[in-house]
Amino acid sequence: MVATDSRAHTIDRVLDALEAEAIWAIREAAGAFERPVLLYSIGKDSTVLLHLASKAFAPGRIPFPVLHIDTTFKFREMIAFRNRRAAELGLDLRVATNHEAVAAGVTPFREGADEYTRLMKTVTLRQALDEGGFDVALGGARRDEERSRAKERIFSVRERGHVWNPASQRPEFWTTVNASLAPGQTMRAFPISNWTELDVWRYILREGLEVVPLYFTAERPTVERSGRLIVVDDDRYPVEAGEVRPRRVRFRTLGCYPLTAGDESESATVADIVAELESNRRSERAGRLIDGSGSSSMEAKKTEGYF
Amino acid sequence: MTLARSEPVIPALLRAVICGAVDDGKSTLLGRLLVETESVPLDELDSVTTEGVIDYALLTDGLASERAQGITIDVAYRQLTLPDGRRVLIADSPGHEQYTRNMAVAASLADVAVLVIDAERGIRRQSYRHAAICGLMGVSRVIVAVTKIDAVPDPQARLEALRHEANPRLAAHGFDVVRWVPTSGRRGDNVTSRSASTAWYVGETLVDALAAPFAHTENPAAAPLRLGVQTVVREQGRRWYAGRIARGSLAAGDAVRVARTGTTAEVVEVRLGDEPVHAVAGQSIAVRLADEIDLGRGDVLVPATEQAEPHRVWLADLVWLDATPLELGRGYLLRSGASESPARVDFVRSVVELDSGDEQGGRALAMNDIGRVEIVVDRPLLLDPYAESRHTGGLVLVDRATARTIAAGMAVGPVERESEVTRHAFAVDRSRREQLNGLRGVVVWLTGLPGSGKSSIADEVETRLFERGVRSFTLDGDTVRSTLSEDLGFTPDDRRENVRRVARVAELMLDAGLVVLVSLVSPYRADRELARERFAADDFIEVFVDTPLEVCEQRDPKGLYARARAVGGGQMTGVGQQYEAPETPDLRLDGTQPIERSVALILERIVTRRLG
Ligand SMILES: Nc1nc2c(ncn2[C@@H]2O[C@H](COP(=O)(O)OP(=O)(O)O)[C@@H](O)[C@H]2O)c(=O)[nH]1
Repeated sequence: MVATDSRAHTIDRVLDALEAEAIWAIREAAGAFERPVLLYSIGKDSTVLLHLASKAFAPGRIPFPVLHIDTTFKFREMIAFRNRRAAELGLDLRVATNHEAVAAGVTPFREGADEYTRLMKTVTLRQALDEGGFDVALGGARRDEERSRAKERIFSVRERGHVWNPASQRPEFWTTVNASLAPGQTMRAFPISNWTELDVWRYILREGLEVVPLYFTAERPTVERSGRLIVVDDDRYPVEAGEVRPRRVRFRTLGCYPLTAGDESESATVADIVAELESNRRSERAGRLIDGSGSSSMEAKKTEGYF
Repeated sequence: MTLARSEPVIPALLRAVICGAVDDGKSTLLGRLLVETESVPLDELDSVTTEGVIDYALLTDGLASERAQGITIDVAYRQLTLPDGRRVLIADSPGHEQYTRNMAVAASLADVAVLVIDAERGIRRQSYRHAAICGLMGVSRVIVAVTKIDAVPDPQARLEALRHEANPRLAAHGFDVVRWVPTSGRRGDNVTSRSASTAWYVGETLVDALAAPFAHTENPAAAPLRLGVQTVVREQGRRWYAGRIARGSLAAGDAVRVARTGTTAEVVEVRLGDEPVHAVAGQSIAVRLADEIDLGRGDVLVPATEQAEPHRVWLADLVWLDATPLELGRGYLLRSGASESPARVDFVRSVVELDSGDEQGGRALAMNDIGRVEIVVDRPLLLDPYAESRHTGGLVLVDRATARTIAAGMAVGPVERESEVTRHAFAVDRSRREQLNGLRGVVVWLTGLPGSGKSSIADEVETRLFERGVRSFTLDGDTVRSTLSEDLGFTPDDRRENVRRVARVAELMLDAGLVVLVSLVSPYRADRELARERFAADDFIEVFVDTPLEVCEQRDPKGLYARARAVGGGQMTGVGQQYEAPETPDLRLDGTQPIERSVALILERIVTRRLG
């Protein structure tokens, strides 16, 4: 039987194996640590992670809170989706925002992408983790996302101040996690490390998961910046008169709207997206403006405590 | 999934390790393999292409911090999709720095190893070492990719010569399969398609060799069940035990046994998410049992029919990973899956010399050493021989102070020791003795500087307990030093041993049903942790008598500080030696306050343990 497996069936078994590994990691985070938290970014990876967590603890509930770092520049549709899903799933949703920075008028336009990201995301995340006393934070990062992620562990230790030190990472053997923490250390867990972007979409299709509609093409108000299409989600975005034009775009990755570029793609359903990715081998990174400044910028951010 | 129990499982997700000595051409070959299997995004490909020429080696380039230091620290993981849809997860192990550690990690889960060898330079010492580590870590298939075949004049003869030279040595590691493929990363020969430049070669390509179906040495689904409980899910008064099946299969109606306790129970339901399944090895499931039994994280479920015995002493092969060498008798934490136990290595039988495969007599293991050792665990554990099952035969040792993973181990089997006979189960046990006291015994461990007030507090607590008819005993530092530990001094090692002995005696006293007060400076955090680990979580209360050094020195009831100052510190805690205050004691007492309040706080913790 096995030899004649069709390709589709084989792909399904790959998803089964990835799912089993992810559920194992999520349960380790819950079982071996005192105070886990799931970092929820509302995007496709978080959607999958949340679904896997539901499966991991079925028929019970997800036994830990879900944390969203809200920079106040997320697409409005993302926030609406977050609030609705949290209510439907009965999540213990915590939202953290750097209110001091907001009050000081920090924006991606004024500070620039790097400093804005540091203040609104990195600093906020560090504070929220410290305040919550969380000793392990689950995230939806994948090894195929970025070159410096290829060396990331599934369980990755952070030193005091949430600093990632590549040289102090622990060797990972089999399915034995070293969950011990020295004073000041915390853990990050990446259950879908071994998934690709295509795996994520195939899984969303298979499991019938709902995602933010921004992933599907629609006519949206756009402006062009350095050859990239930005969707103007509210009136904080500085535009010239008559510059905003409706275009059919969708997003491959979601973040702060001024820092996320749209794709002129016709994919309107999850099945379309899977088909698009099967034929188009460009990476999703292209749409993320924050990673644009040099190939080691993600690594530098992680060293500072970025997720 | 509806698999019959006997059906062999060919994994849809394969794990491979790729290794080679530095400059043998591994990066170029791997880059080529990823590009030709369309596993690299086009924009990434663009970033390593100049004037139409792809620099394949750049694709697998490391971290900026590694480039800055000119070394490769770490294993990288990359995905490759085979034409039939299967996935290969490739662990790319750097060739130089810390290669033993990296190789061990990368090979620990690998089904197949790609050993890259430079056709020109031939097989190097490091190539053999890589093969030896693959053998040790249980990799069963090896593909020797002889690369740079474009650079040698008579490639066919060269391949034969290399094969002739290496095969006998590779055979020593007991691989099931060794395949040889002549390749060129630069030219792309025989990577995903056969090359016209090597028309003489009619064998498989590198990707074919990777994809070749193989039978597991053990059908993981047909093996005896091993399910380690990771966490317990409670829902509507029911308990579900969640974990990933490491071996065997599990279905409703099966009878299972808890390895630790020997209790058996019937399986009512097995689910994956919300769906009932007939589960097999590899799946993450949750199981509900017919009876309420004592079962939690770290427990292992086995078939009820199997007499799988937990043991206290295990023979294992250790790969030492840390710069700090093994210390015999030192307390480490052993972890295997979700199971854990305080453990110590008390004997090194032999150290393996990787180059020759020779074994030397026992000595302590240092970084990158591999040795066969005896490990003693405090809580009996069920492990499988690693050769049978990696997930349930693999273990790591953790340093308690730094929390670092200092060794990886592969269980060989249990060791029977005369002295390790299981304790006789006496008819009058702890809980019956505790009935006499009317409350559950406990160890109250008072730590603090000399003169902080520990003994006065302990004395007063005992007086109050005595008045209530509760039997107790105080293990006091001075008394212990002049009796049980009269042979010990005050070096850090001796202090650790002192703590160990006191903890052991406290354990016996707890079994005697007593309330045990320990009044001991016990200045080192790690030592106190060791003591704590010997007890169930709620049987041990760490109490920090927090009195500033100046106050203690002023009190100086025994004139110890004055004497220590006179000799410039010596081994006096607080003066010549450091006191590591507890960061999160169970109870912190302000030692500058009158002792009544401290005594009351401790008594409160003790009397709430009233029975019935
Ligand atoms: N002639 C030839 N040279 C190669 C080939 N593959 C790699 N090289 C060269 O060998 C050197 C080391 O290659 P690299 O892939 O970086 O080796 P690594 O250190 O094992 O990753 C470089 O100078 C490459 O250009 C090959 O197939 N043929």
